[in-house]
Amino acid sequence: MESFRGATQKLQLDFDHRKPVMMIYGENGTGKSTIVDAFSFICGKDFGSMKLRSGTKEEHICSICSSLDSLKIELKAGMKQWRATYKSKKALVVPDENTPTVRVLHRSQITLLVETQATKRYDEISRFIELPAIDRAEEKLNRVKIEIEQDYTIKETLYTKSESELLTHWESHNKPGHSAREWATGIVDKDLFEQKNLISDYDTIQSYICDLLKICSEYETKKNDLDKERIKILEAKEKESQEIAKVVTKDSDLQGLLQQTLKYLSRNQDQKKCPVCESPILHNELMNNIKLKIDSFSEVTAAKGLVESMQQSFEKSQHSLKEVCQKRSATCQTLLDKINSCKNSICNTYIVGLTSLIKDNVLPEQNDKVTDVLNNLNEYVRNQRGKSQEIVNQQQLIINILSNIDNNKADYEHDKLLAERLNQTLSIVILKRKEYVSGVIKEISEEVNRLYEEIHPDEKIGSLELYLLDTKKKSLELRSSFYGNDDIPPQSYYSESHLDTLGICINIALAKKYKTDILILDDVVTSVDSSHLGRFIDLLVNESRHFKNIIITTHYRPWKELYKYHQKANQNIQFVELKFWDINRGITVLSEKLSIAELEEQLVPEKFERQTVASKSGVILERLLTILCRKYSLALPYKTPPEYTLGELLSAFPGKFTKKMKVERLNNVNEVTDSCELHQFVQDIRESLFIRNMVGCHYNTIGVQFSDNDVLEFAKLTIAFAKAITCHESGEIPDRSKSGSFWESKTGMTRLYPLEA
Amino acid sequence: MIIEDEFTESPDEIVAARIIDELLAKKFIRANRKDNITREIVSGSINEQYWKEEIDFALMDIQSKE
Repeated sequence: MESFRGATQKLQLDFDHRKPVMMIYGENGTGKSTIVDAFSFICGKDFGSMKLRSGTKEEHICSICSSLDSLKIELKAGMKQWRATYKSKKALVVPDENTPTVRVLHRSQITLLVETQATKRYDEISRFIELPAIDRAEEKLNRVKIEIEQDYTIKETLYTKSESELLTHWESHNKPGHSAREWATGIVDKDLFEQKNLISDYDTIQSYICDLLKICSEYETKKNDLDKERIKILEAKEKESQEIAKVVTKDSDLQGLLQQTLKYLSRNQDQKKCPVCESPILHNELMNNIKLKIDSFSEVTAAKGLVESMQQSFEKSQHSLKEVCQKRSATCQTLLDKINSCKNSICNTYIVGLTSLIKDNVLPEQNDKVTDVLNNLNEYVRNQRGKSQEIVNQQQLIINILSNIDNNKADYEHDKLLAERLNQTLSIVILKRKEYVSGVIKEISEEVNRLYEEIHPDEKIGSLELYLLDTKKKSLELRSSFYGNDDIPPQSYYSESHLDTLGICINIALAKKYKTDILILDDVVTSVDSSHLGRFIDLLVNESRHFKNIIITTHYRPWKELYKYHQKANQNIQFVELKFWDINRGITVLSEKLSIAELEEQLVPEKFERQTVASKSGVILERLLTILCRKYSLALPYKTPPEYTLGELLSAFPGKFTKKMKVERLNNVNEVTDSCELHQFVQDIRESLFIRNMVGCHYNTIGVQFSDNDVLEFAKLTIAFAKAITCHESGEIPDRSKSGSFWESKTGMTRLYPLEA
Repeated sequence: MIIEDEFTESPDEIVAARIIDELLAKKFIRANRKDNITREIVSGSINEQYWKEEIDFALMDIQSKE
């Protein structure tokens, strides 16, 4: 990183891929948070701990005295590489995909999930328990279920209504048979073929009657017209007689003579004289006078013409009337034949009446009588047809009702079944959703409890439970037990230290659930007392397999020392120490080595410095012997503070006890492959003790008399002893006493005997 | 012990698969429609008509075999 917060100079931090845990130790102000924030910046485009400080601005992410343009962080993992810069108050990461997921837990945030509001706690796990697609499917399913239930209710009502309708009909027929259904089935099963034929016959008869009535009406009209024509003929004849009489009184022969004269004059246009008297004539004037005379005779001619034409029309009408009579007679016969063909259904009276009308040959004259007979017959047929139609209609009505009942019943039963299935489907959807959500929450709760139990075994606290309330949406509640009292909000009763570890456990559980690549615990253990610290360290090492890296930053020196001097399994931990920060040098990173490795490094001729080697060897031996004294409760003089010299520590190991001390190493199938007695080591250390005191602690003349080789051998003895009592796989001095007869390393591959002094 | 999800399946997909398995076991849906219904649920595009038809067809299937 460059120009990023405390990194005023370029800083490179190398991760040992064989060690999933990196412990960054540094006193306050050495740059631990800068390193943590760098991960937040490049992996989460987040401003990290800066957000937790008031009065800071985005641009303060840049180192003091550096320009924002020079800010740069690069992260390499295998073949992948990402680069982050600062642009427009944001982190610009290239490529902007597949960056490792990082979860940072700052000291100030440890108890946030415990002490925060339930809604914020919910937000933290919402990614696991929110099911937007399922919620939508559930909502749609619920809607269609309600819709079908409504349909089903409507169909049920229709079905009930049809049943009720049938019952009403049955009751109106005085409940014949055993049940309405039986009665209705009887009606439906009836063969109404004859009734339907009758209706057809009645329709035909009514059609004939209708035709016949029209013919009768036509006859009546024509007869009236004929009568009128007869009167008109009489009147015309009368007028003709009168005209003729007028002409006779004048001169009946004159008309002929005048016409002959007119013809003569027309032929002889040059005639100037009368052929009879020879008197001169005016030709044209004479012809006009003759025409006037002849015209006085034309009214007679017209009267005659009128009589003739009326006579002809009358004869025509007479003929037409005769035809109507014949048609009426024929139709009447057809009607009679039709009636005879179904005479069982027609009252005999009407047959006799019609027959007599035809037989008596009264038809032409007694049209009114025919009309009366036909009207009566028509009324009778209409009634008969109505009765037949009623029977057919009743059957059809019952068929319709039964059909409605059956259809509605089938629909209603189907919809009822469908509604039931939709309802059950909805129940399944709800159940599966709730099971999943409660499963996830339970899983997280159980994991928190498991982690918490590892740090606080056999303490009467814990049983943490995260749960959702049905009455509150998006709210994640928290309760736990406290000395036999359940349903306790932990924030009310737990100590600060217990709340801290609870918060850390919740965060670790969520980090695992979120499949976090890098878990960073930023200075989180200051309030954890020493008795819990060891278990917390073990927990982290155990959990490290779930992450690509766990990065722990701390300024808590005892924690570092536990690893460095093999008191705790350290093989999976990479140690980094930050030295004093300086504005010109920036952050200084030193690779911290384990005590033995550090000593070994100094045994090469180029680095060998006798006083340092003797001193370091002594410190290592003091540390190892202190651990063994504590483990075996060996007797030491009471001191305040309890700090002992190497000599005092060695004096606590009685010879009888050291003879029983041995270390066994086992292979993967629990076979002892190596056994090492420790008695000789203790003896040799006793004998070399003065080298540490004379060379490593003080300047004195005796010290200079020891050769470098003596110091080297002392260091080698220290290293051999340290290696003899530590597990080669986990790097710790065996610390588990479960077997009841020896101490065992966490890998189970190294055993330290005896169990007790 | 916590089960670390691989996130090859989203929570919606996990629950949808569980729902479909249960519905199939109860014959509330037809076996050959399993993938389609799952897809519709997970995509969030399932609607009222789809639900009704699927449940109805499965019901009619059973009725026709009885």
